[in-house]
This record gives sequence, C-alpha cells and structure tokens, in this order.
Amino acid sequence: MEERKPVLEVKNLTRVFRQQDRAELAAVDHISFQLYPNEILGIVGESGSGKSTVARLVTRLLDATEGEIFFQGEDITRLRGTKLRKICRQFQMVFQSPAASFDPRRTLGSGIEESLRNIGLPRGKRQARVIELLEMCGLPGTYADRYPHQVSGGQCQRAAIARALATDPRLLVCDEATSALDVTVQKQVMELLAGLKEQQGMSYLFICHDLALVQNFCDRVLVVEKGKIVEEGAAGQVIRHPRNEYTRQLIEAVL
Amino acid sequence: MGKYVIKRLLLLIPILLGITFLSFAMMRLAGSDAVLQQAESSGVALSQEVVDARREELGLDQPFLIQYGNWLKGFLTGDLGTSYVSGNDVFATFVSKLPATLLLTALSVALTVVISIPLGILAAVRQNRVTDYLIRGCSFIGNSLPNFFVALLLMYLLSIRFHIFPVISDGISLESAALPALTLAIAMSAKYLRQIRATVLEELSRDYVTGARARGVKFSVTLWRSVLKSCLSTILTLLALSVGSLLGGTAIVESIFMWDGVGKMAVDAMNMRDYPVIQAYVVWMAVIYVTINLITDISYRFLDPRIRLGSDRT
Repeated sequence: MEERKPVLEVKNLTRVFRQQDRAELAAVDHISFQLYPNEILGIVGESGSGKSTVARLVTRLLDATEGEIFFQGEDITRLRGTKLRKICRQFQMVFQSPAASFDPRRTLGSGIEESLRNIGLPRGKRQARVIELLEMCGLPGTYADRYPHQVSGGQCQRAAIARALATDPRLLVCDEATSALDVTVQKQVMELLAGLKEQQGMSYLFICHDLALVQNFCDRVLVVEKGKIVEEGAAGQVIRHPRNEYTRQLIEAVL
Repeated sequence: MGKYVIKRLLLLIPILLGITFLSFAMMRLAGSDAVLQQAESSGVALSQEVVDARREELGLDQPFLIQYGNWLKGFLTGDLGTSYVSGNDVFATFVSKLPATLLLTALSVALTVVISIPLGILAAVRQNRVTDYLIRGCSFIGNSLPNFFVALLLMYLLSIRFHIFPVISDGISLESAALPALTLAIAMSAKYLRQIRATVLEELSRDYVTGARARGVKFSVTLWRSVLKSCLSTILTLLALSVGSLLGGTAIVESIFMWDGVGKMAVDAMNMRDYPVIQAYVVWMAVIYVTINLITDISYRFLDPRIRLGSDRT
C-alpha cells in the first residue's frame, strides 16, 4: 500500500482558535497523516478532541492556521474561489444530522439536483441521475419528491450519501455520519458505505467515536487527543492491543 | 382547505359582535355626551330643551342595550347610520376616505420591502463588518426617531429645502403620497431589517448551508435559492401586522400631512363623539385583522412544506 500515491496527505496541520478570554487553543495540533486510494481511515477521540475540526479543515470549511493539505498531490491549503469549488467536487462530506443537512423547504431530489447542476450536468439528464443515485443508495426513486421531514433519519442519511455521490467524488469525509442513527439502521448504512466504496473506488475519512464501528469498518485508525495524534495503526491492532494510555481509557469507557 | 377558510370566516361573527359591543360600551362609559360635545366645539350655548330634543332625535335617550340593538339592526341591513357631525351617510363617507388610505398603505409597504430586504440580507452576509455596523446603526436611529419627527424632517428637507414634493397633500396623488409613505417606510424598514438580518443569520448557520459550501455550491446560489425563502415567512408575519395597522389609518402621519384617510377620519370622529363613524371604523378594523391573518396563515402553507404537508414521520 505504501508505494501508491495517497489521495489525501496532511502535513503538520494546525488550527488555533482564539477563545473569549483571548487564550489560544490549538484544536488541531500538528497532525500529519496519509489516506490511500480505497482505504478507510478512522479518526477516533472523545468529544472536543478535535476530530471534527480535522474534517472541516480537510474539506476547507475552515482555514488551517499552519500546515498543508494535499489532495491527489495538489496543495489545496490556500485555494480559493472557483478553483476551490472545482476541487470540492472531488471530496464530499456526510454530516452527523441527516435532516439538518437538507434545506427543509425543498425536496430531497432538488437537494441532490443542486449538486448535479453544480457539476454542469444538463437539465434534461438530472432527473434520471437523481433517481439512479437514490436507487444506488437503496432508496426508491419516488423519494426524490419527499421533503426531509417526511423520511426517517436513516433514509435521510441515504439521501445525503446519494447527494455526496452526485459529483462522483474520490474521497468521502463522514463526520459522525452514523452517530445519529439507531443501531440496526447504522449497520445498514455502514454496509451501504462499504459497498459503495468498492463500486465507486472511493476512500473514506471516517470520523467517529464508536470504537466497535471503527474496528469493523476501518482499515487504519488515528486516535486523537487534544488535537494531537497519540496512536496510529491498523484498526484491529490498535483496539485489541492499545499501546497508549488514552486509547486504553477510550476502549475501557465503552466496555 | 376550503373547510378551514369557512371556519375562519365564521369566526368573524363572534369577533365582530364582541368588538362592536365593547367599543359601543366604552364610548358610552367615556362619559361625555355627543350633543354637548358638538355644541361646545361650535361655541353655541344650547338650552336644555334643544339638547333633549337632539338626543331624542339621535336615539341617545334610550337605554344602552336598546341603542346597541338598534345599531346592530342597521348594521345587519347594511345601514351604518349617518354621521352626527356632517349628517352624511357613514358608509359613503368611509368609502370616500378609503382610496387615500389604500394608496398610502400600498406605497409604504412597497417602499419598506424595497428598503429592508436588501439591507437586511446585506447586513447578515457582512456580519460584524463595517457595512453591517453602518446598516444596524441606521436601523437603530430609524427605530428611535418618532414618526412625527421624521415627518417634519422629511418635509423640511425634501419639500422646503429642495422642493421635490408638496408640503401637504393636494389631493390623492403619488406625489403627495410620497412623503407620508416614506415616513412610514423608514420606521417600518428599521424594524424589518433587524428581523430579516436575524433570520438570515440563523439560516446561514444551519448545517445544510455549510454542507452546500462543502459541496462547492456557490454562496450566491445557496443565498438565493434557500436562505431567501426562509426570510419570506418572517417578512410575511411582519407585513401582516403592518398592513393591518396601516389600513386602519395612521392618525399621526395622516394628520401631519393632511392626508385625508381613514385614520384622520377616526381621530376626528372620536373628538366629536361621532358614534356611528367610530362604530364603522371598529368594524373595518376587525374585518381587516381577521382577513389579513387568514391570508397570512394560508400563505404560510405555500411557503413552508412542513406546514403544508404535515409530517408523516419526525
């Protein structure tokens, strides 16, 4: 795996927030990692450890204070405007709260269509593609006409995944994508994601606090504490034989 | 839907009964007498016999409930009575004042929408930057200035200094309506744009806006297609309240500009204890508020699918 070129490479990524009392807090502190094609990289850590900030930095929702982000070899750390929007299509994000990620006043279909229009797909072809995407994610095509409040959380998350796939991305960043769903639905969505990965040849950056899920689903895992990576390795290895005290605490907290 | 509208319109009956009865009672409780009031304002000293005769003529000597009953009977047969002061038919007087008020309402609402929506959105998008502070500052000033002061200021600047508009109205024309409409619009815009700014800011912080940005959707697209829609229900709520009070006439502004509308008529009628005119005004207000609320509630359904379709699941 090491000789292949990484899809995503992050070097010394740092983000400093200034708090109300003017003290500075490094939410992400000199983090470096690589994500290879077809790989699922998990990031675990407790609330406030900075894992969501990593997701926001990588997808350029937040600007990095320091460090570099390379996407398929291109430095995207400081990209702006049209260039950034173009590269954005290559990586998509799935959020924690599925219903909130859709505009409550528009149908699921029109939300997905927006992404299609954004990549310049002609109007006539969009409808068919929306239905195709929904079906790919295990939803009937008729769901395009439903509003977010008319479907369940799991169905909404499937639609959100369908929307993410609309731009044919190389990388999917899932920020607690399954945390808001109950266990059985969670399993179904995970299976969907696993299947899509093979089918579409994507890589996942999977941010999650559920260690069991990470163990089953991810190839490698990063354990993050206070913005720093404290442990890194194959998922099974890290969780079964943790070397770091913090990782051990995380695992014990679940059991 | 049809059932809903009918139900709401039927509700108008108890509302009208209640409100006309209350206003009837309050005018009588106020103490002063219509006949004496009139005599006083014309400066004539009347003998007791004349006063009594006049009272009998107007039916004011009868017990309160019978007076109300008589008025109600007239109202139901479409007769709102004649004015004590002018002796003209109340309904005809009322209708003759209406165009002025309608014009002023339409113009000031249009101005408000044109001023407040762009500024409110601009302030939200440029949150905590110079533009935002400037707009909010202006809104603060607009909120603090009383209507009559703004009216005088505008009169001084636009009429006396630069001779753009007439100082007081010379009939119902767009030109004469401009200053009173602007006066009203300034006060309303100051309130509206704060609400609009708050709504847009709230909407901009939603996950789906962040998501759209992450997917590389242009900010302007999100703004026009999604965020603006969220403003519409806020604006609608505000408009519903304003249009109600505007159609009821804006006594102060109408008086300052000598704008011959419903509000001025109502104030004059109250001064003269001209009961039939006041009652007609009260009926008008009740009908306006019920109708506007109904229209607003129906439009919400069109604007927000969550209300229109209910939720199958949550």
